[in-house]
Amino acid sequence: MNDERRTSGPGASCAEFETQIAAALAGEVSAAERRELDEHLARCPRCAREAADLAALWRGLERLPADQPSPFLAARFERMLRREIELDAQGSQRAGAAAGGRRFGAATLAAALAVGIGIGVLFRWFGAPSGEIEALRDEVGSLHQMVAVSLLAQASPSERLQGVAYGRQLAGQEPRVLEALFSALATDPNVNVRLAALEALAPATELPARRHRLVQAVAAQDSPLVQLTAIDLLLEGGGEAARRDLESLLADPDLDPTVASYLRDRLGRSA
Amino acid sequence: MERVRAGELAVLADLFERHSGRLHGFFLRLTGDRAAAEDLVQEVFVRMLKYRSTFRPGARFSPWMWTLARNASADLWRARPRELPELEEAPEPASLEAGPLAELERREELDRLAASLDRLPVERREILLLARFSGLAYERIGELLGISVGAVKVRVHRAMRELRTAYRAGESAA
Repeated sequence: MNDERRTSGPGASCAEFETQIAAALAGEVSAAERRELDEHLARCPRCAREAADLAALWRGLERLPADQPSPFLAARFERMLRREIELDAQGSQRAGAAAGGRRFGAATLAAALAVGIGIGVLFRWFGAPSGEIEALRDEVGSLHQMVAVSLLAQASPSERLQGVAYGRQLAGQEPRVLEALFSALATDPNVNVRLAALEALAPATELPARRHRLVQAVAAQDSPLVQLTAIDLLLEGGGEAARRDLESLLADPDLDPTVASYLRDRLGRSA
Repeated sequence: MERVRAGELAVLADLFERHSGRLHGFFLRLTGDRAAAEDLVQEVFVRMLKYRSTFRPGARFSPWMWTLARNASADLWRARPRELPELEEAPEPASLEAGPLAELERREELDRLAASLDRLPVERREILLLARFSGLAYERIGELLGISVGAVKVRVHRAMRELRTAYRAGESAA
């Protein structure tokens, strides 16, 4: 059938006016077309009935119950976005290092270069005494720690995400970085940063004191997404001890009902 | 979207918050499958990141998003052709003598309407859902589908009539 037929106008047929009915319901007719249509409907009972039917259906469509997406859709999206942001940040760091342009990349490189030259000089003049090399290694470690902690304190979420990416490599060994990541998890206003901090802290589930802090962080979160992700990470990495710690959360009357339901499912508990 | 294009990827979270519900409703009604609808919403946002450089500065976001949405659903149909509803010739319109439909408000009436929508061929359902729920003007829908505004009007009208036929068939079967 030809879709390009005339849809109204002087001398238009009923079929042509009928086509205008759905368009009028969508507000897709001009004032003149609307006037013509109204005049036709006033004198044509057949088309008026058609208009009443289509209007009822059109309004009915609006009233169809709209199921909300599950919380897992948002969680999947957050994970995807976080991964992309991290990849983007890594790409930027590489580009920045290549061009010597990015602030922290350049600072890190310059400092590492200075330390590297220092190591070379020491090797040449003193035969690489082990104590000096240890000290220099510590210095490099401190530099990474400083970069991670500094980035985590920046105003821009993308810089804080970079800080999490730096901190991820150091979270197991540098207390200041660990504290900065726990702080980001507890207080960062950006959910993506909190989720990234959570993943950076995942290895911490093996140690009881840190695992306990993570469980406490779950309870204190206002974002169900972060809570659901934390539950997954704790159950994946923390073993039976994490299950016991998480069970204590079920007694918390303030726990989000969706999170509580998810936790019960994961723990195999009935409501 | 311009900020996302410029590298502020975290801003996409705002766009997700603002548009994911509407996209989900569209895909759910299009596919009748909650899991597929969620996959498609996710796919649209993955494509936004992937194709962010194609967003023209100064352009409106909504038509661009719906273009991605439509391409994502078209790819789904291509990947799962057996799940396509049969594209039959449109049935003849129901008799106009049956009398006007009452306001559809009760739960069972709305369930019947949802089931009737599911029975429409996917092309009809798609254009009807775009017209009713996307918020796009017919001109934009025409650009999206590669057809004229007049053709959009005709197709939406046909889809509405087929919806009425399906609804009445369900009504008389009840």
